[in-house]
Amino acid sequence: MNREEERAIEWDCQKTMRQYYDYVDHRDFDSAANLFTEDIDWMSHGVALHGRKELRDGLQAALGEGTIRHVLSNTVVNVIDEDNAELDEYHTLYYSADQEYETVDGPIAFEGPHRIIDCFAALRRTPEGWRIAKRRAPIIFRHDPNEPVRLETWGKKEGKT
Amino acid sequence: MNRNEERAIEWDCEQLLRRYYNFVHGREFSKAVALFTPDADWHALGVDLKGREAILEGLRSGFAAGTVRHTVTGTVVTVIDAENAESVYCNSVYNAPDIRIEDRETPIAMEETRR
Repeated sequence: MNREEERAIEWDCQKTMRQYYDYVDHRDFDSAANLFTEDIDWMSHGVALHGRKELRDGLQAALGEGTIRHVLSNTVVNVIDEDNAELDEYHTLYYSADQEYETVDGPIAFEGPHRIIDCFAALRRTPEGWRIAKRRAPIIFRHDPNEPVRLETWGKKEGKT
Repeated sequence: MNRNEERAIEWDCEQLLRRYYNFVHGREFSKAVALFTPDADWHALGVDLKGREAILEGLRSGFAAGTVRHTVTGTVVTVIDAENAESVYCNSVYNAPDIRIEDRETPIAMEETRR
């Protein structure tokens, strides 16, 4: 593979990740789940999810209410071969559990980032295009470690932790 | 140089910058330093460093004992010619200089950081 082909894969993979978070941040969870492989292996906030349906249920439970914005940075793509790549990036999260931006009169007040997350993803080329096959996302910094977020609460209730 | 060639350089330089910070965050300082030229001229926070060895020493003393994340945004790469480019970008830094994330079971509270 030459550098031009590698570069094209790097671009496509980082675009897939950006598209995923744009869908999530706008609560389009069906479109978000379709950017994963059917056998997605997903782990974040101590919650493990497998397959698109489970993932979609988790996204709905975690982010169906409130407002979140994932600010992505430092994305580095490592091409393994023409059908596989790995990606590292950071998410700076701004989050309100109780307020939806569509119903608030004016911007939502905030005191800074809610959490900083290291994200790893393995991506695979499929007939649908590049899809996320594995995701790991440990929290590194957190505004208030004692304040649970909905994904954690839902994951414990559903036995996914 | 045509625009496609320029765009390729822009992307490659962005990837190199991000890779550098990711190595620093993983405390892989030797790999981070290898991304500099041997005669690198480094200036940050009032500190001047010249060459890979000095930068390696600076990174070790600055980041070996703690946890840091530089979130890089707003990068603009300006291509000068086929072998030279310049970049500007914004760094938001979250730094807990005395806490290693691997040594804890919970995330680091923001109030424990020095931004």
